[in-house]
Formats: sequence, structure tokens, C-alpha cells
Amino acid sequence: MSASDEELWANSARGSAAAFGQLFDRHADGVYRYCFRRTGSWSDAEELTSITFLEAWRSRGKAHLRDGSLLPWLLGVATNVDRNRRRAARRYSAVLHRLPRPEVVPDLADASAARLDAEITARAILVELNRLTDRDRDVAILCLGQGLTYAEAAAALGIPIGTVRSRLSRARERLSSTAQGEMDVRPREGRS
Amino acid sequence: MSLDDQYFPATRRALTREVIVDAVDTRPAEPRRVRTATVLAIVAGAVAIPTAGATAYYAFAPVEDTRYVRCFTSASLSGDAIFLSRANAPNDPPAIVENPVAGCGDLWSQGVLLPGVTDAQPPTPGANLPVPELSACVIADGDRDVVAVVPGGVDVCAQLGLLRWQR
Repeated sequence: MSASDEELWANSARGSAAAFGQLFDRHADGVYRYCFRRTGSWSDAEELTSITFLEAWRSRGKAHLRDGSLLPWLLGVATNVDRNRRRAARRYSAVLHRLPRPEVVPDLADASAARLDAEITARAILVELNRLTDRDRDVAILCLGQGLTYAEAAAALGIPIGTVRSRLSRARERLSSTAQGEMDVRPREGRS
Repeated sequence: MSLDDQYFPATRRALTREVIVDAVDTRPAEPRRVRTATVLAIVAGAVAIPTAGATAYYAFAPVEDTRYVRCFTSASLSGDAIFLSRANAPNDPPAIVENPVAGCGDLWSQGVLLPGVTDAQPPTPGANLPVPELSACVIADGDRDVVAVVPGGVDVCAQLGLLRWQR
């Protein structure tokens, strides 16, 4: 009997670190991949993921689940954290200092060619994404990179669905077909 | 650039989880919000239950959404509850738990719930363990009321400052 996000979040909101740990288990990889798409660095993605969960805990009274999933809200938290990363890093500096560093705890997966290739590709895409406004870039990464529906992206960013559509449309016009192809995923329009 | 097969490296992921859970666990838990004001407001509609030699009054509160029932393993709200939910098929959404006391009782019977233990235990096949007397109370969870099934008799909800549950 696996607890739902709603149940775990309810317990987290009441202060249960154990429930929060289960949510970390469930969504850390999704947040991590999103953070990677935003930073182009696996190492930065680890730190950003950590800050995102710490910030999520701090803001746990404000969470909104979308279709029973906490992930869109977490991606919204990650978006804000990335925009204000220096301030967030200062807030959690004591905790971040305790996190493992890649050079201290080597992981063989880091050395894999696939991960190195992914960093090269992600950074090339970021060059194009960085030409967009922050708002258009957020929508493009959520929908084209992470494959969120319009509704999920709207929930993540706290904006209307129509705004997601218009921002995504604008981003598509400005991104090259190569970059869009590399981002690989299409928004799941049918579920929006 | 499909990243679906890329994961947070397992070693650092585990260590990161440990640090984060430890960091949040050091902060005091928010107090459970029990709606004492509601208790006072509803007492006027309390149901009189005749008992031997005296009349006891118990306040009830309705909760219709019983998709997620909290099963407590002691007559205390200080520990985490174990959630009970029911689905008709593995991928179906949770369904209404018609009888929360019986549902939590089943978990006691199977050995999933043990006295004072706040983690669910693996069920014991064929077990038919004794089930303590249970009562369904109402607790506030965020901005909604939910059913909490607590070991104890008819007075236990009042002793915890809670209303008894009614559908």
C-alpha cells in the first residue's frame, strides 16, 4: 500500500520528515533532470535539487498538487530557486556544506560518455534558451524538455494555461528546429 | 536529448537524502490543529447516549470524504498516522472507505498495525491478531477534516480534544 503524494504531503505539512523523505525518493530524479536542463551541469543540478527540496519544506504550507502529483509544484519551486540561486544558497549554506561533493564521493556513472554528451548538448541548447526571456524559457524547458502538459506547467508557474500556450508559441518561434529537436519531448496536449 | 534514463547518482542521492531529511527533522513539527472552536459550536447538536445511571454527551462531526483514513496505533496524536486507502484496482484512484473503523481493524488483524508503532509492518499471512477497541474521531488536516481511527473506547475522542466522526 503505497501512500499517495497527497497523503505524504499532508504528513510533511504536519512536520513529518519521514514522509518528506519518501517524497524525495519519489521525485528527486524528476527534479534533478529538470535542474540539469536548466543548468547544463549534473553537479549544479544536484545542488539545485537539494535546495529545491529544502525550499519546498520551508514552503510546505503553500503547495498545490496537480492531479494528485506534487511534481509540477516542485518544478515550480525549482524554477524560482534557480532564478534566485545565490540567495537560496546562502539561506541553506549550512546544509549545503554537509552535502557530498562529487570529488569526495565518486560515482562511476558520472564518467559515462552519455552523461558527458548530455552536458555538451544541454549547454548548446541553453545558449539558445538564454536568448529567450526568463518567462518564455521557463515554459519551454517545462513543456519541451520535461514534457509537462500545459495545465501542469501552468500549475508549476502559477500562471493561466493560455499564458503557457502563448509563451510556448513564442519560444518555438525563436528556438531553432535543431534545439527543439534536441529537447526531444512534446507537451502532452491531450491531458491539459 | 532524452534524459529519461539519467538518474541522480545513487551514492550521492542517498547521502543527499540523508542530509535533507536530517535538516528538516531538526525543526519542530507544526502542532496538529485540532478545531476546539468547532467542538464548542457543535456541542449544541450533540447526541445523547443513555448509559447506566447517567447520560453522556458526545459531539459528532460529519466528514464525507473518507478516501484517506488515518489509523493511529496509540491514543495519542503525537506520532505519525498510518494511512488507509482503498482502490478497486491497482491503478484506480482511491475509493471511499465505507467503514474506517473496520478498515483500520483489518490492518490490526493482519499485524500491519502494532501498538505504539508508527510505521506500517508487513502483513502476516493468515494472521488473525486481536484488534483493540477503536473509535473514529475527526482531526483537521490542512484546511479539511479527515477521519482518524484511534485505539480506545467511546470517550477517547473527547479525551484527545476531538469530535467523534459521523458520515
